[in-house]
Amino acid sequence: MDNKDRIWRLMARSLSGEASAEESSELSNYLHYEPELQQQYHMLKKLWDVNAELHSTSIQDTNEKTRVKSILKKAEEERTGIANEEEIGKDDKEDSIWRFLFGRSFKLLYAATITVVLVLYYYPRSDSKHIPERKQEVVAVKNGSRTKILLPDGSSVWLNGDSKLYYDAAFNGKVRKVRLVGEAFFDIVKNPNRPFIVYAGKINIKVLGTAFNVKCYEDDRDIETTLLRGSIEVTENTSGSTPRILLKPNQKLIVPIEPASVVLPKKEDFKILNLDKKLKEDEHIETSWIYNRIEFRGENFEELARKLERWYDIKIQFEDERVKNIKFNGSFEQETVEEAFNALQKVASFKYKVYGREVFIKSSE
Amino acid sequence: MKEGRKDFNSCLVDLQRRISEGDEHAFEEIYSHYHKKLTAFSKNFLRSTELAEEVVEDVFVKLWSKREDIIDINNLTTYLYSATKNRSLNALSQEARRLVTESLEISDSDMKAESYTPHDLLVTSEMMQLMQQTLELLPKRCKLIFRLIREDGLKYKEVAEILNISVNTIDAQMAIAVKRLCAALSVDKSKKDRVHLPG
Repeated sequence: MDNKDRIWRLMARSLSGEASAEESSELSNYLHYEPELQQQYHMLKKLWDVNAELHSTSIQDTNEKTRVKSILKKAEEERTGIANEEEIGKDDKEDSIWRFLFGRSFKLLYAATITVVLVLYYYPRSDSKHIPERKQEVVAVKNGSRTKILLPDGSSVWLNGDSKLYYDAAFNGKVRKVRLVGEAFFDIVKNPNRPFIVYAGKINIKVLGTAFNVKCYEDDRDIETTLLRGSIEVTENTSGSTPRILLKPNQKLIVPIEPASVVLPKKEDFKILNLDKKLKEDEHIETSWIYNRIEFRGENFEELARKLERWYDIKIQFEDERVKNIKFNGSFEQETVEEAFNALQKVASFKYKVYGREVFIKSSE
Repeated sequence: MKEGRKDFNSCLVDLQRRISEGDEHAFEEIYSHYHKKLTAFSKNFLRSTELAEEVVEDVFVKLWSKREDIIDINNLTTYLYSATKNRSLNALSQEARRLVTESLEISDSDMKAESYTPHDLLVTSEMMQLMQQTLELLPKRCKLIFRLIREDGLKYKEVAEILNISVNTIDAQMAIAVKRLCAALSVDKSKKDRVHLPG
């Protein structure tokens, strides 16, 4: 670098506010002997600090507030769509793939009780070059029924009652993503190059190939993740930098839904329980629902009522507080609502009345 | 102007926190501070105001839809510019992308002064205008770097990160720009000494 070039660099740095103290004095020493250059430098300095007219006057200044409003609206639409694991700041190539690939919607194997809703997001675009037409599959299962679906990659998902599973119809991204509200059992086809991520409430579950159960109903107190085979990694989805919890087979992770600010993995915020290793895969309480069994161990009546509501598609009303705290163990398989409540009455004293799909429960005085 | 940037930067962390908590006013502040600059920046790639505006809108949609993550961004400025660049490039076809990135790559021609003569400049008494004209004649990449530094008030390091080039390249390109500007100014000063053809 010749001497002159060094000076231009020093001038530029100094004008840009990048020069160190040494560089500044080096520059002023030099300029001291170059009056002409000094003059030019001072002129530039004056120009530099004039507020630059924005070089693109063609950018219209339409009403900012209106624009912000429409941005907020679109963002909210996106949020209600499938969660997206892209870490902020990464190149979103995947996004652009959407612009070129329109996945064909996959034919689902679904039971008659399921409604499949196709949600199409149209972003109004002035230019047809890239219309990200996002097709999303939503599989919704009503109370009182269960179903098994097959994802486009061959993975199986069993959905429990009152649950919804959202995923992109194409399912061809670098990452296989689904979002769950409710309860599901996943048996994921291994594909190390395409990680599988389940978004469940405030946690993300990352999978390479594995079988596990996730329970995250909105009206439950906890999100439960039970791993039977393989391994999964759980992170909080509110930030990209949270520590991870690795689950081993036959472990169950319990994360409280409240408080919303819980950051994993503070020991007091979550629990990891070990399942009974002597049990066979179809004997665990957590996954009994796949085998059309409803199991409960030490749950109080209030918690059990929620389970029964989903299982039988009924509404249960407690007419007094005392009954809520009775604890039950047991399981039902083929029982009707009446048979189930009669069985419960054998071990605890309470009264119940069934009106259509509603059950009223009170203590027996 | 530099002062203004400093003030804004010191509020940035607070704005980011407020946005992550869902504060729409904070988001609006960020938007009005950046959107014009980002649109101008995007136009470097897309050559279309309309497309550039769309790209920038997408960037802000993403920012709000992932607002919980904003707290983890170390430097929101470089994040927004990088996201704008990436989305702009994505919006281009493969071929166009190649042309754009090539024009941003180092070539020797940047390093040598272009062979324009000062006489080509329409000399006006408005120095600002003179400066703008001089800038217009700079090689594309040099111009882009200069504008990001001077007009958008970014630091060398930030521009290097956004454009994915070394700080040394920024240094060299800024030197070229300053050299040209000085040359233009000296022409301006000496124009009374210049010989004019009788017209």
